[in-house]
Amino acid sequence: MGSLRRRLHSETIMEEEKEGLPPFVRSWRQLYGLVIANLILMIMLFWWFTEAFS
Amino acid sequence: MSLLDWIVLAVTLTFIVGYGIYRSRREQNLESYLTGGHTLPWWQVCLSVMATQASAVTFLSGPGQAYTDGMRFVQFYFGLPLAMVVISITFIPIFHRLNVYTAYEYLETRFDLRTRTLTAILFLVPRWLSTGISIYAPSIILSTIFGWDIVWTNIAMGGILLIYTVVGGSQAVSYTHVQQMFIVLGGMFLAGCLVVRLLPENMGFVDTLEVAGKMNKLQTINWEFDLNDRYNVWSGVIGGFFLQLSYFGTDQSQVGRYLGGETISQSRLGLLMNGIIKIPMQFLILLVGALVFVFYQFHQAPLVFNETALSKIENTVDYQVLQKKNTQIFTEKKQAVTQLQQALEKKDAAQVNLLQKQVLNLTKQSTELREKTQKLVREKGGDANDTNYIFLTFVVKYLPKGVVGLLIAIIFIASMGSIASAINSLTSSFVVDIYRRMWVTQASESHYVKVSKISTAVWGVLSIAVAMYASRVGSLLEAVNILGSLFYGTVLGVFVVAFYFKQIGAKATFWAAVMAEIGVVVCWLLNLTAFLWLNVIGCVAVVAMGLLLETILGKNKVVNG
Repeated sequence: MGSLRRRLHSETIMEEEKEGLPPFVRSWRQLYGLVIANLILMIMLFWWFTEAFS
Repeated sequence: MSLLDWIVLAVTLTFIVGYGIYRSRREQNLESYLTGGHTLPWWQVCLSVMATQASAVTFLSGPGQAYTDGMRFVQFYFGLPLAMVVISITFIPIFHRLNVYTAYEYLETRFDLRTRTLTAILFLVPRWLSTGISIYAPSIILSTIFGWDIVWTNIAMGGILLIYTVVGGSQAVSYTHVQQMFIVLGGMFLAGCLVVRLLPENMGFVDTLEVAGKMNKLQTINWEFDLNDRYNVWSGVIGGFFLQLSYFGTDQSQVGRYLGGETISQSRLGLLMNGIIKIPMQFLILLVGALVFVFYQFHQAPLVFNETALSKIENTVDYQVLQKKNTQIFTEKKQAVTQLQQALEKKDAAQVNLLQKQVLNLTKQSTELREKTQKLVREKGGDANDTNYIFLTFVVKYLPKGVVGLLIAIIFIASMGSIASAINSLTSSFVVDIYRRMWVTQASESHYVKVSKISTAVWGVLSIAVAMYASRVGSLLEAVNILGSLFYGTVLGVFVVAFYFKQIGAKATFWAAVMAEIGVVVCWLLNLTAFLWLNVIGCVAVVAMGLLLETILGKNKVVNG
């Protein structure tokens, strides 16, 4: 009974967490990862830009 | 400006101001006046935080910065996405759940009233000063175009903004930010396209980039770790992270924006999207400056872009000599740049190398001439720093009718967005953290709304007073960031202790913040490090001294007990 309640509680938290997420990610953690990956990509692109035009 | 420019300017400004006031016409309570209520979807939160950060300073100084110093300034924003992630995880849920009006309210719950008041003051002082600088930036435009005295243009500019901010409150600010950002970004893109069109016929966009690159204007990334170098990857990622974390996490002008989000998710999404869009946006603004630099290789640039400063020296013999030399160097450089572009087209590496050296040497000579002219201006008591005038001079002198009006409107509405947010946040913090908390604790809602409107007007007048002295601070963009760095680190340190160091109490945190702030100011006065690192120093100092003081105070408690 206790474990069922805990499971339901954690599922409710997960539902709340998923609310408002864009469709291309499954969790907030994935979205945070995407933002950081985008930063790394930007730095790499700017580095290429610096090298290509100097 | 032509009649068409005036019409474009008037229509754009009337639309923005009118729309903002129209959307906020309903009866206001304190929550809607200060935070706009919790009604904004994520995209509106995103555009609102972007419009708050991107003031007229961004659009005036940004291209000028790239013209004089290249594009390395973009590294300053590398810490921003990381800060957005941390704020989304930690700050937003806490602020939303506590349903606070200001970030500093939370500090009383965690520590005490003294710490809340100290951080509110550490916010109010730099925000007030930087708002003054933000009023000064668009005033330059009026001053340059109409030849008016900067004192009167400051009063005129601040006065218009003040009416708008007092009447509209936070709701007007949020609603107009969306339109503002679309107009601003569209206008900057248009300006970039027009620069390329104004270049010689045989030069396309890539050719322009190649020339700018050979003239060292496109060096965006610098991996070298140097504490005294203002902009490199490390100062951007680490120092920038601390600066942006403090700015977005603890500066009420930003906290107020995302607190207006409908839910926690909408506020989070808004900030995370800002983390994705901000760097490319800043890159494009700087790129416009680099393109303007190439444009001026084919059209002679003035030795000083600030016409008021130029008028002080243009009749002197020294200036005439410098100007003659400048024309001579320009002619040689124009020829060399044309040859360089042709060599680049032919992919003749040896010739490119040779011509690059020649062009760089001539650029050095012309920079020296500019420095001598600036010295001359200073000797005559004028404002020698003209970074903020470079893009503006180009717009007014070379862009077609109608576009000039649009770009001037962009600078106006960008100012409106950021200054309105800033004055609104000064009012929020003053009314909620000081007036309502300590002076008049029991009064009606309408009383606090009335006080908020009066406070908005007073902060506006005080900011105009600061604008009168802003011409002495050099590049406005840098000045705003240096000012922020002096205080943000300490404020961030207090929040870091509040969130992550539960063992540190109120007394230790308060004194640690006081000592850290003194330390940061001393570091800055002694010029010990580049300004971005002050954010790190302030934050780390609060945490370290907080831990130390808590240990000492804890031991005393045990001894006394």
